Amino acid sequence: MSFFNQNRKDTVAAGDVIIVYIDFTTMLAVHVDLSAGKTAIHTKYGAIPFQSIIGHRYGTKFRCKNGYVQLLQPTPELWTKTMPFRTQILYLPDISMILMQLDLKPGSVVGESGTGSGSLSHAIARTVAPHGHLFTFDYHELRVLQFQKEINSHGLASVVTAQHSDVYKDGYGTLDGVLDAILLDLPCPWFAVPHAKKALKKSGGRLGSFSPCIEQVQRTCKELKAHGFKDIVTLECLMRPLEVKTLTMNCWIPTQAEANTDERRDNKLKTPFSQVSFPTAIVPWEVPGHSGFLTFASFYS
Amino acid sequence: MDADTFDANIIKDSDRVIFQRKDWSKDGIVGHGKSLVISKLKTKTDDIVGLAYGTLVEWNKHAGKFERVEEGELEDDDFTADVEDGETGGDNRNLVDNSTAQSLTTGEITAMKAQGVKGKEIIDSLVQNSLTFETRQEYAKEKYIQKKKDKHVFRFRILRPTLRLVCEVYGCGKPQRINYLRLDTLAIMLSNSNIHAGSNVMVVDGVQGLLLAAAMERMGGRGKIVHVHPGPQPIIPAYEVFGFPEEWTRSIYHLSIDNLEVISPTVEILQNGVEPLEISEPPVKRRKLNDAQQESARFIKNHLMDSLMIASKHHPKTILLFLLPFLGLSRNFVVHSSFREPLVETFQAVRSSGRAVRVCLNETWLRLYQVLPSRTHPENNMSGSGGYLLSGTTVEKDSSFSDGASNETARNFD
Repeated sequence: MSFFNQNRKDTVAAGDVIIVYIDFTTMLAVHVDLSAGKTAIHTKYGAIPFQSIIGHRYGTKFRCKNGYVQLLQPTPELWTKTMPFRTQILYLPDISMILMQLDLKPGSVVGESGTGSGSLSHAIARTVAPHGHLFTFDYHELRVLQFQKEINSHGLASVVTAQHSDVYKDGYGTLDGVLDAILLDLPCPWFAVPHAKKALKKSGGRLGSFSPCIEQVQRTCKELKAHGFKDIVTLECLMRPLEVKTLTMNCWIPTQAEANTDERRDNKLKTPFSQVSFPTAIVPWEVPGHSGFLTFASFYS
Repeated sequence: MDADTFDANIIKDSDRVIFQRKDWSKDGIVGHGKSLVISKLKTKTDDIVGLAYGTLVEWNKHAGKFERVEEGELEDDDFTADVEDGETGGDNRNLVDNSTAQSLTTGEITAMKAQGVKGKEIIDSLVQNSLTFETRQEYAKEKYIQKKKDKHVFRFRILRPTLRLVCEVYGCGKPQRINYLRLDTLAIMLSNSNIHAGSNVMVVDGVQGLLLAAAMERMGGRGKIVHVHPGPQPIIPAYEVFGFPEEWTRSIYHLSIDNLEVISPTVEILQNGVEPLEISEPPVKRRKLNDAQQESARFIKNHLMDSLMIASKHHPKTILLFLLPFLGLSRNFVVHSSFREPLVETFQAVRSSGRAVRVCLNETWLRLYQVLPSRTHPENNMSGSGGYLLSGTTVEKDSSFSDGASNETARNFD
């Protein structure tokens, strides 16, 4: 099992983390850990004993008592959708934008604070592997311990180091002038800016900050400017889900246009309507409108 | 360029670099005898070689060369006014727009530039010679300086190309060439397709090689990329901007979309100079290809892909349905189009094929903000659309989804 294509096996093995796809709205992340007390996955289609899925091929149907599910390989995106919530998490559009704006690629060395639920951490780890590294910090000790367990069971231990530390106070510890990029997801990111500057490579680097409120953004931008960061950009990005449907509408046919209105009257064809079907993409009545503001900046030597 | 020096921090002769200004960037090659036209100015780039990436330079017309400028001197984001709410200095009650406020003439400015007077000094003179400058609001003063700067100072930051910067180059000048594929949309494509080092990736790239470059940057030369391109030859200017190491480029298999059908199991690729065996059951079509294309086709026939990204001017439906079986199971695909209708059609076809779950259609949305003390608001102009994305995860073909059958429900809409 692995989040990395190179290490993937085609079939489920003991110790794997798998994604059980039940239907369009329901997915579960399951650690197939035979040594733990849990022995089965419970779905609306019935129980799936761990033993029965060992050796099952990923991406093929697994028959339950009352239906079937799909067993999928984990990806950071699937993990984000199925992970156990510990904090408010970052979602796909923001995560994607962060990876792009921080210029992340294999080999990048990245700092993240705080770790939170580790939703973004997975995506960063996937992108900087195999020879890059993510150092992630959180001031909440339990979150760090939980995430450290996940790093191990998800095969990310060689790429990620999670530490319990207060970045406001202690900064990035011994990381001095070594990071290519830093992401701040903190209630008061401006307190971390001087530390971030110190931890970034002396030859330059990128910084990103995620904040739900504009007041946080204003203070952060001011602090970034004061510390010599350049190219400061603030943005919002969202994804609007579209619902694909084939709709049918009644179409009124004007009687004048009919070639033979007499015949129409004689045959008592009273309703001048026909039905028209068309495929379309509907924007739901309510869609996500705000997740947070993303601020990015460069530091040049 | 080789892999060892790809990340070096000093600009070398013949490097591809990005010239960045506020809201505007361009790529170019720097080095001896290399000239570059920027904003109607023909510049010589010799003096950029040897500087560190990230350096600010200004074109000195008099000396005919780029000169290094110190950080902090008349910077683009050097907004100094930090006024309390409501106290904004002067106002515009006495401002009359009669073009007499500036006593410096165009001729005089041109003469200053020809003498090699620095940008900062020109702006200072303009400010001194403006009768109305001191009566303006603090904000308006900054705006005035910014406008004059845009016009009179040719200052750039020299940066190493990254996906973000190359997207900006295309976005600010020629978005039509990359099918209006916006930065955030491309970012989401890279996440949704789960591209990373060590993967086998297929890209159908009708966007000047930008998709190919995106995949390469995220893979760092580790893994293989199948590049399906329109036309007989790959034309990939956006890829070339990056100056990726030669050994990375060797991990790409180019295949023309005209030859795409040869990867089908029912087509046999003929080796040059080898006569085909007479009997084959069932009968197969035979195609002749040049060596490189043959190699690409063979690679696809022998390897399952981990990711598929499509951003092309072609209608995506037939391409996606044809390529889905070449992806492994539980792998991800994503298709971009700047139009909604082809993706609606493709969505329905993919759902009906029973080869994918988590099939989603999304539109992307991006908005930029001006953040200044007491003056924070969304930018006055924003991108109208970054296009549409169709994404999904492959599963074994579900035979209960026979072609044409679909579990969509028709809904009355009256």
